[in-house]
Amino acid sequence: MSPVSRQRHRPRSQARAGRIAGPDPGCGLGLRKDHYDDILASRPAVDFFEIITENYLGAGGVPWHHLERIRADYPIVMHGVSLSIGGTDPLDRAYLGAVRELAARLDAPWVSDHLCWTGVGGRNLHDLLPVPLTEAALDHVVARVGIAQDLLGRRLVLENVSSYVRFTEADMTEWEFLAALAERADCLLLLDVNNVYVNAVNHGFDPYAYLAGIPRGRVQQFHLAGHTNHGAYIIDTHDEPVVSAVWELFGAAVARFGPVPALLERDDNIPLLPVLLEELAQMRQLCAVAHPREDAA
Amino acid sequence: MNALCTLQHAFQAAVLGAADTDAWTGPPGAGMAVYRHAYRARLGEVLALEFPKLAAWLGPAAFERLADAYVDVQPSRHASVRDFGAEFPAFLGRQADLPERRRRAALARFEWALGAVFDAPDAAAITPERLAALPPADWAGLRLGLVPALRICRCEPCIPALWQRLEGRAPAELPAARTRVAPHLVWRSGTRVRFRALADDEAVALGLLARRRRLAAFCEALASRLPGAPAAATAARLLRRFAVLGILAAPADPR
Repeated sequence: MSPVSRQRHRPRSQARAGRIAGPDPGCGLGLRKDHYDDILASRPAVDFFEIITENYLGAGGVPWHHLERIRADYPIVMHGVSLSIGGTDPLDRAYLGAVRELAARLDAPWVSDHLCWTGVGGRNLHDLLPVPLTEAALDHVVARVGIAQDLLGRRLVLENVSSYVRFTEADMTEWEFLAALAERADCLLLLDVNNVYVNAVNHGFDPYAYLAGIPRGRVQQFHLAGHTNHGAYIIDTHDEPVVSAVWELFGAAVARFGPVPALLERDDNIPLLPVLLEELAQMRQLCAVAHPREDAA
Repeated sequence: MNALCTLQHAFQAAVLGAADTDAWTGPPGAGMAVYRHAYRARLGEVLALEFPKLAAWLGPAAFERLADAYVDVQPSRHASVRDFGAEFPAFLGRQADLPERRRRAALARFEWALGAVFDAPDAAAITPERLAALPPADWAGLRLGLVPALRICRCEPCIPALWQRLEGRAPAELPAARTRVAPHLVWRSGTRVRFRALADDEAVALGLLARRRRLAAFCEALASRLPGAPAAATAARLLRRFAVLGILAAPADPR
């Protein structure tokens, strides 16, 4: 353990607070280029869009042309895949600077990435690799979240990832790790309900116990996506509709964590926009059942 | 190296093909195999997305073999996975047993240039009207440059033609004999990526403009590189042409 790793690292830029405000809790979609034209033509009833941060760090060109037009009508939140907050290489300050600049340019309400590492020794495997659930790893990640939050000038939102191995050395459960991380680093969580389900099957735990172990005020956003079930294990493929067991778990998450912005992701086998909007309507309905609006008739 | 760092090195080595250790376990049939497969599949998909015409020309099996070989030797050190293919054209150029190696590498370079221009940063371009309206007294001190959404790609003229044929799904036919390699301009106009062959004087002028020197120095260098041509008139003609194309960056403040 390094001498500073136990230090509680509070971002200078923001006082400790609850969830980040806005957009109104609602149902959003991952923005994919396949849907640019449809979105601009039909202005669908989507509460917000989420971009993959790295796709827009170039700050220009055709992708930006579309994003600027979509941003005129919808809030945009950012979701990165290369922060490597659990990595052991030094944090990439240039990358974090670019993320900060992009967030300012988009006026993004929040910036998320994953509780994972993506490579070591300067290499990026472009995968979201699991962090061992140990006290030492927790200390390490807490310290890095503090640095990243200072460099971003805002609190970070971190997503639980799906995993296909478990490390033999473990001091705690995944939800205990997340809860402790959020409290100690004063960061927020993006709870991917599908990933909870995937890991529950792959590693044999109760997904409802997972939800119960996550502190209520720390969940900033939900993710939902489809997966591929291989029987003995599940792979988080984002290429199919959300399955009923995950919808059920999502219903429990909405009931526990309150009206939290929820987002539907699809990264492969991407259907036409109306098909995703139907799935989004299902998400909206579950949210409405758990938390009927006060002004509703 | 601390324990976490050691563990991550071992894990990464396993993803890249080294044997598993007893530091991790996975569900039967899954575990590390999922990460190994995902690594190769993801990077292979990225290459297919960035080089679609090359993939079409080579055919899926041959392209996959080359992509696999590239994944074996080329680590990604980029935040964006899209940048992984940056060295692929050069890699193809080194594959001695690849038929039509030079042309395949040239098509890859050409496709990479198209992709780079597609999402290159925006920049204000000077219009022909604004160029014409610049006071003559300011010309010598002006620093004109090029917009970022521009690449000069040196290839045989049959390479852009091949790209067009592949775009239209027409059969790809190439001249048997090699033809002279020539500079081609790839640039973005609005949201459309365009390309065309460059005349010799255009290529020389663009090379000089990329250095963003003062206009007086640009004209001097142009005169020495294009002996016999009237320097001022040639410079004015070329600058106007580039302004029409929208590739001349707005001038920096003269200092």
